[in-house]
Amino acid sequence: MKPRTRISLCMIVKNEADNLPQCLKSVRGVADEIVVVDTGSTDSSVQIASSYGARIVDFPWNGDFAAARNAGLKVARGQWILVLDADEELDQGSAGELLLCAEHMEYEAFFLRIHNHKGTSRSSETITVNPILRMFRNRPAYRFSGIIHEQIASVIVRESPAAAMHLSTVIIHHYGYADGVVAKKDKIRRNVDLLKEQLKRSPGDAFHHFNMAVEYMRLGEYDHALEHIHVSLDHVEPDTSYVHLLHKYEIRCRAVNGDVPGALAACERGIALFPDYPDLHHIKGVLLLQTAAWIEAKEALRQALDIGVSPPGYHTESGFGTYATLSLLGQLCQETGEDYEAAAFYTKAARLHPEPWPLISRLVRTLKCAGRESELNGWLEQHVSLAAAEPRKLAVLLLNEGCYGAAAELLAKNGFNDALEPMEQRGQSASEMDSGSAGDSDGVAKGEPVNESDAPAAQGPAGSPGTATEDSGSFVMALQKTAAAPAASLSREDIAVLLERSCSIPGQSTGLMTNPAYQHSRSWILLADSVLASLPASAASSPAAGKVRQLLPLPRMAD
Amino acid sequence: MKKPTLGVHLIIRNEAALLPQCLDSLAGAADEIVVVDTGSTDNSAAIATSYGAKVYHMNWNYDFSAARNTGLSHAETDWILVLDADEILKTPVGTITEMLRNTDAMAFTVNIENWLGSLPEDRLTHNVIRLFRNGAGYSFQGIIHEGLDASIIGKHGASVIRSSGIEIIHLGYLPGLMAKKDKISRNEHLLRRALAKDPGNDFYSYNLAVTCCQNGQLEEAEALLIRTINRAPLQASYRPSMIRDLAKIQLSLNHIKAVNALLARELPRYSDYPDLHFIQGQSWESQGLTERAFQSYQRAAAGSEEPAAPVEASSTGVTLEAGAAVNAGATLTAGAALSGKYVSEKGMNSFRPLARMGAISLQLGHFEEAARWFHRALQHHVLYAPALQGIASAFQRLDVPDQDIATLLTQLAGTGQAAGRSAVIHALDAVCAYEAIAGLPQIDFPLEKETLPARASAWIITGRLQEAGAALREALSLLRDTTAMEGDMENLHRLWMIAAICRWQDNRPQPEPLEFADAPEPLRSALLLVDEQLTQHNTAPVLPGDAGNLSRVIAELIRLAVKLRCGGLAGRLAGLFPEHRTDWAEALYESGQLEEAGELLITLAGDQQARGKVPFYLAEMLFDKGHYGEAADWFQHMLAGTPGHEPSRIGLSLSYLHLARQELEEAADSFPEIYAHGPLQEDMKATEQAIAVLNRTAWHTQWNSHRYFRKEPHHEAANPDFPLHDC
Repeated sequence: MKPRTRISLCMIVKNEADNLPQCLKSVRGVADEIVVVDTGSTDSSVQIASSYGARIVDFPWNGDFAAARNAGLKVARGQWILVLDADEELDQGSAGELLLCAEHMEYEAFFLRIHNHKGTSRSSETITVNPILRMFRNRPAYRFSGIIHEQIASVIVRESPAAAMHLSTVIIHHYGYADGVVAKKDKIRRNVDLLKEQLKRSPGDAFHHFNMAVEYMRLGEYDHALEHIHVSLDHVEPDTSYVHLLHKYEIRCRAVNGDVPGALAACERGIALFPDYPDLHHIKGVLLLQTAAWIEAKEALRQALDIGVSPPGYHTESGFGTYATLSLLGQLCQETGEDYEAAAFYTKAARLHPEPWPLISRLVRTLKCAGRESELNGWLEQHVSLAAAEPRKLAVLLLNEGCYGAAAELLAKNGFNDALEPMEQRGQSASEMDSGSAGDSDGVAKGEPVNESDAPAAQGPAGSPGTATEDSGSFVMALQKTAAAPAASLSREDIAVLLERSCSIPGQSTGLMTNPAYQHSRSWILLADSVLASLPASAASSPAAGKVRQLLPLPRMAD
Repeated sequence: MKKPTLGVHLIIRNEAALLPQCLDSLAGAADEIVVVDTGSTDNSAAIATSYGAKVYHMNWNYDFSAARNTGLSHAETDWILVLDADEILKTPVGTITEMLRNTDAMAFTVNIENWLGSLPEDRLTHNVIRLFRNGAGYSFQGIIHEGLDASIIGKHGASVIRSSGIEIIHLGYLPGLMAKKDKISRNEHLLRRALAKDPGNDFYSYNLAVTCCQNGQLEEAEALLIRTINRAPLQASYRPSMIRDLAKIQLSLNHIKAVNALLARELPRYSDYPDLHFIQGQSWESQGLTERAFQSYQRAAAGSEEPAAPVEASSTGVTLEAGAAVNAGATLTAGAALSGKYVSEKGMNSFRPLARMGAISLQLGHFEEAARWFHRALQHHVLYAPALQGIASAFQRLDVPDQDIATLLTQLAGTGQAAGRSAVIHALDAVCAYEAIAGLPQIDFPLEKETLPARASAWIITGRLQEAGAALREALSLLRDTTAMEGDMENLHRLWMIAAICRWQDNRPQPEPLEFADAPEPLRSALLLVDEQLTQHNTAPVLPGDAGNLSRVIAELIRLAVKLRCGGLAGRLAGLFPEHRTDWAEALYESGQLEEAGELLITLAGDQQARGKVPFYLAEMLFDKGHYGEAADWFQHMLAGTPGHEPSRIGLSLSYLHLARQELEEAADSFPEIYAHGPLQEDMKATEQAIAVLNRTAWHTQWNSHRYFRKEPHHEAANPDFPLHDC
């Protein structure tokens, strides 16, 4: 068996002690060599890197990213260079694929898929997915260029015009994207100035213009961004990796400027070149939806859906072609009065969405407004197992949506009695909740212990069966009573009591839900909703009332 | 080429009332008149004969086509034009035969203008084949709504059919005639029989739907139409009309979701059908989606700016243009393009959507824009009341003096005809421009019965009691002798009330006192009693026999006195008849005298006298001051007494939403960090949006005193007598 090809991980760092371990751990067994260029850390970055066996290159910061990167490349000895940043990590499921890629020496470079996460953990939402050239053959001619947005792809193409490149599906997680997006304005200004400098030297550089457009978009100056997009489109080679992105950004700039026809025309141009790019179809659907062109919008969204997850070569917004598109189709069907179809789309979307609860809320709202409250539990059980798996959370949602009957049914069915033990313990505070803010801080504070005692609660009824049953019975019964009461007879207090008590359902007492003012606002909203629902269908204002019932804020389920 | 001969064919049964009008319109120019009588028991046949018609009798066998074809078999002319007795041929026969001289067509469609009411905009136009060559073997098919299309297309294809621009007025849908002739139940009977025999016949089930609709059986009509549309082939000529009718029915049944779903599917197919865009606009408006409604109206009115091209332009433009051409004696052109592709209500591509666009601009506070839209609507229909009122209202909001508005309206509508004069006065009345009405010059605006109530009211409001008194006395003495004939009791009743208020308000000795004894009963005894109470200061009123009537008259008098700004008189009446203090309070509030109304409303509430709309008005006042919790209590109070009071229900939910919004604000204050800039802000925005949508439902009392429209012409299709047609 011939020895496998070797991969050199090359990074540049400055004060990344917090992030480095996670990043370096992720390439264990993949990277045969780690080269870390330190541009002046004052924390323990260098020590940490050394502990992972990295070769350290000291390179005083001179304002040039490319130069720093190239200092690392110079000492790398593997056949392949893998480039990561400290706030990135290799997905563990992708290690095998990356090693396999490295065996294919007929290629000069590989694109990896960068998943930009909103937060700092793996479970946080992926906002966009961007294919970027991050592994390439170690050749002296392949050196980064560009002061910022250091580039390697164009260099490789220039040096080896026949170079074969492959779009892999290797996943790199990049954290804290949201923070990067809201980067300080002055930092963006600085980037703009640097890019202006570079454009003076090479005014026809499509990549610089592209980057300039990106910076202007971050500044909210869409007219300027458009100018650079157009120049870039004029100069760019048609097979360059970011051409599809230029089209998407052109659409976005035009749309933000209110030029919907222009944006739609740009969509068509982009789709003609990249028919398999779901984002373009999705955005086209969004634009058509704005102009109330329902049929055409539906068609565009259907096409995005047919493509599904974007092919690996495209920069894609997460959910485009999948759950985001489905959710939009749900909205569309509500606009055209097709509630049942809308519910079906929301259901499919919720099953795919990494954060499904807002969609479950939307689904519950849709079915409720369509007069199908009695079917809610059955529907969710059958189609959204994820929601059914968390019956308590679901019950809180139903309660906060004013579906008292459905909430009671669910709690009764899921042996809420068992879970009531902790509530009995906090019986006093629960009964005095009307007193307002004092109850609130209690609620937050007790959220955790309640959670802890959830597991052994099975023994609860044995301890004091009488009171527990009575209490649980009274809550479920209170819900049933509320459900049966005519809308006009409900007061805000009736609802507020239920909402407060729902906070004592184990595992739910976090965030907004326990804020008394927020609870009050929900009670008022539920009251308004029940009054609107009581309008006869023949009333002149019932269509507007129906619209409003959909518009009312959804319950904010804690993450 | 020799001038071809033209025969006019009719089938009749008891049409003596309408037949002369129809045959007169031929002006003796037809080469032949063929009439098939299916069993008249009046002198219809004799009338036809007196016009030189050849009359053939046949027994009615429940088959219109058979009757028509009997007539055709007797035809001796080159061409045949088919008319009905309730139609009037607007295009001269000579113009038609002139057109027929040089054509290779085998048949022509004509424009039928269905008159649905007395207003010039109450018109529905559609096209149908009525003119065709004799001897080509064409015959009618279908036992009702008989048609030639199938026969002609089957023999020679659709290309031999041209559009003609010939104008026929159809009077049969005028409400008076519909009721008189019992046509609806006859049609229903026929159609049900036909459908029983041929259940899959779309054309029959469609027409049965139309008949159900005319009968007020909207749910059945909806079900029939849905079934028929699902079955009918996409290219069926009557399909777009079915979509329009279904959408209209669903709109009037308030099935808004169904309307939206239907139009989402069908509008892309018929995007040049203005009626569909208009209905879509109405459905958006009913959902409070004003901006979106505006877009739909804009689409309906698309192209209305272009000068109406005689043949290609859709229905209304053509109707007007072709009519003008005929009147000018110009020859008709046998164009190849079909004019009036769709069944269309008059003004659906022009003044109706334009006026709605004006109304929306007004709502959104874009007054100049509103004035422009209304003005454009008026260019298409100068007496369109919603547009005249709208433009007056828009100019008022732009602080144009009422006098100048009156001048403008007079210029627009003209004073040459009674309809124009009355339109001007009613528009000014609607915007409370009383000074302007009182100041209208007598030369251009002579006193007329139709506008007298508005003008007398304006004089009273502006303190010109003598002028008002004189005009009213004169009119009433004239009417005393003619009322029996006119039978316009309501108008007379109103004039007497206005006259009474005028008389009681004017403290000066009267040269010619108003004789209440001349008023018709039972108003007379009520007025006499009130007069006695007021003039003799009796404190113990004697109740006459009809107490219910007296109470009604007093309530009306108090309201009228408030409206005519005779506040002292209204107060005296309410003092004399304390059980009517509620009416007084309501009238004060409705007229926008909020301070006086407020005190009175609170007094009434304190005395446990919160009857009628008092709780609602109290709730509104509290709501307007931002006391949402108390407002909610009074809305609920109103609903406890009157559960069906829709505005209270909206008001109540709005109060709750305002309270929700306040709580959200408080929550945002207590969460300075993450939530303040995320979810809570979003929830607040959503709540505000919900409030905005509900506020567009016009639940709140609207004051017309230089503030708002008196009436929002929102739901035009709400009444059941909406225009449908059969082809």
